[in-house]
Amino acid sequence: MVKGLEATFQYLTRTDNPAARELLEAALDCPSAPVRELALMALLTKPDRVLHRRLFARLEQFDAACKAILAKRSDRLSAVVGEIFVQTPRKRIQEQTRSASENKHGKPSDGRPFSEPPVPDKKFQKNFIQACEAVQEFHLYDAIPSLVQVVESAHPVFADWAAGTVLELTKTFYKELSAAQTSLKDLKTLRSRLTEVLQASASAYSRHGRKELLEAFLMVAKPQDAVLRRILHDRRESAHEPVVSILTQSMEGGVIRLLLGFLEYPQAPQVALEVVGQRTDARFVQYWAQQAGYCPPEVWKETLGRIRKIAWAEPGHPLWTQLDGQTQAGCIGLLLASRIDRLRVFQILEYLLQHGKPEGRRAAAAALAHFPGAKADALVLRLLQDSDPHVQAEAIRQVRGRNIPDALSLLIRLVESDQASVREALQEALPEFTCKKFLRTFDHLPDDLRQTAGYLVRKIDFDAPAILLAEMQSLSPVRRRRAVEAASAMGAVPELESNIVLLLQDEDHRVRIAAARALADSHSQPTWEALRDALFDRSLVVREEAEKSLEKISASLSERIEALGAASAPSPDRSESPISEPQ
Amino acid sequence: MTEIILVAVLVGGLFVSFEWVRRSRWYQHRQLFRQLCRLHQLDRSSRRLLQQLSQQLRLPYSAWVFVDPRCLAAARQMPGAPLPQLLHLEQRLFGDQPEQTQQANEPKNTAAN
Repeated sequence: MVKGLEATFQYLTRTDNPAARELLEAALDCPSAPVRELALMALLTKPDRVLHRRLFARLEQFDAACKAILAKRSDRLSAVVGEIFVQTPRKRIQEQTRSASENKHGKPSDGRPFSEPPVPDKKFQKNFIQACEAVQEFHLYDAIPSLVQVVESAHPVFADWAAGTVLELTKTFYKELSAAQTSLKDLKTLRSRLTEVLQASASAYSRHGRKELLEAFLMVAKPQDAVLRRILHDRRESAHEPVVSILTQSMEGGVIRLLLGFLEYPQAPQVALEVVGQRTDARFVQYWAQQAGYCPPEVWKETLGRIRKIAWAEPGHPLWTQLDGQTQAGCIGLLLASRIDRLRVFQILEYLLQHGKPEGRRAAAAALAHFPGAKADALVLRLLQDSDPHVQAEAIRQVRGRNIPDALSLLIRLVESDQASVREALQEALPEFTCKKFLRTFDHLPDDLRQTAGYLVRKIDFDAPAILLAEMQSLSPVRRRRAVEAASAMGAVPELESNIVLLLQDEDHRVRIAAARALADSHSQPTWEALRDALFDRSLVVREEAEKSLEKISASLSERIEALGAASAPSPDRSESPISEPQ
Repeated sequence: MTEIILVAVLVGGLFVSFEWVRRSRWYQHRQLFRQLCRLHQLDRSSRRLLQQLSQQLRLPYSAWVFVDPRCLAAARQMPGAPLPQLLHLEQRLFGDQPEQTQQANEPKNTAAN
């Protein structure tokens, strides 16, 4: 749409005529936005430092669109702000020279005391502050080295600004780094450059005394950083105390990442691990516990084993109420992996089982497995009656291992539970009550025990019907017969009725006998018809069993009909009731 | 001999003055105007019209007419302005961008005023 105008600006961009530059600069004030933007793009293309300095001076006047254009060519701004920052220490030297000459000749011209360093001129200050703002706004990471230089050698007014800018810029960089989806490689290169600069500034802490630079360094440093390790190992280092204090107090994501990163290194400085244990702020503990989970990563285990003190490891510590269930579970994992006194950990588990969030309580119940002894046994027995089925399940898994007297009967009492988690736990806790084992021992069991065991197996083993079905289709007539009888003992005949009916046609007469006998428990129409057909079976015993089953079914049905009739017949009391027979 | 020296001085003087003119701001802006006319393939009458317009509006740079669409819009308001030629030029230099036409009618002070 703006072909003509674009062509004009393209020409103005590439021509060497100095008049074009003048025209483009004037176009920056044009009320038409496209003209202003095209002019700015053209000017940024020109490799003229003086021109870029003039653009920087107009920075406040630019609108959002123009700033977006500038952001794309931030290298131009970097050079300009870099120049300002490089000049800043020199300014100080100049001012000091001026101050020295004033001292020689009597008193300072501006009336300040001799002890104070001279404040540089206001115009330069304004320029410097604008440069700091531009650095933050356009993320000019390239300016960090010169800013660090300013902190180390410029007037305190500038050093304050520069230190704050470095910190803010590093925070922005860390955010960018942690959210990076693409161009991660570039960011990594930039990170190593920044780390190098900040490493040097951390080493020179005694010279500048700026904690902002240390915090910035900690945000980008890696746990294996040599300078950081040296500072942490050597208590005589001037930066040691401030670094420990920042590691203990900083809420910055970068610092938290660094602290947690130490856990991956078994040779991590003990001071760092002490700091990890000292922190009681919910943000840090949440990160830590969530990364760990109930089972901390393998790489952490050795380092966690070196932690002897965790500040929040107390029953009733206020932090527990601030943590969600998942975090509480993670904290339990951390406590178990650490070298904290076991008795203390047990007390925390007791506390959490009483006051914890659901996930925390479940993890605490599971963690009891690490604690033998009468106290833990009593707690597990109490948890068998817990209102949370998951907690119950954790207790069920531990009962037998603890050799608690009467454990089997305690567990059998729970088979009526309709909670899947409880039944799953029972399956694990009572491995002898599986369908396969039941089938294996079935022929040797006395009749009364078959019924009891069969009932338990059906309640505990979810796979029982599928296993029985597979057995009924087996090639071995013995296994087919045993499966039918086991189904009858387990009360699973109605469920497997159609398959048992098919077995009435089995070639083996013992299978047919078992099927005819088992079908007495099923009262459906197809069963009735199948049994009626079995009355004509070639085997006398089958015919007899079918007849018996039919009689049983008829007796049971007539009992039921009688019961129904009795229930539906009007009761003598009700017939005499004044309500039913109004007078 | 004197004549030769005189000729040499004259030639030298001419060369120096030509260089001086070539480096002057005035000349550079004039050149830029010409270059832009050539870029947009403007004929002699259009060039003359733009030149006159630049003088009448007292633009600081003659090439400003190529940058600011309001100049041509202002020219259209002048009495006796060659409207078809101006519209043709507007179309040529700025395309049919609606924003430009809209802004062109707004009386604002710019570098051109």
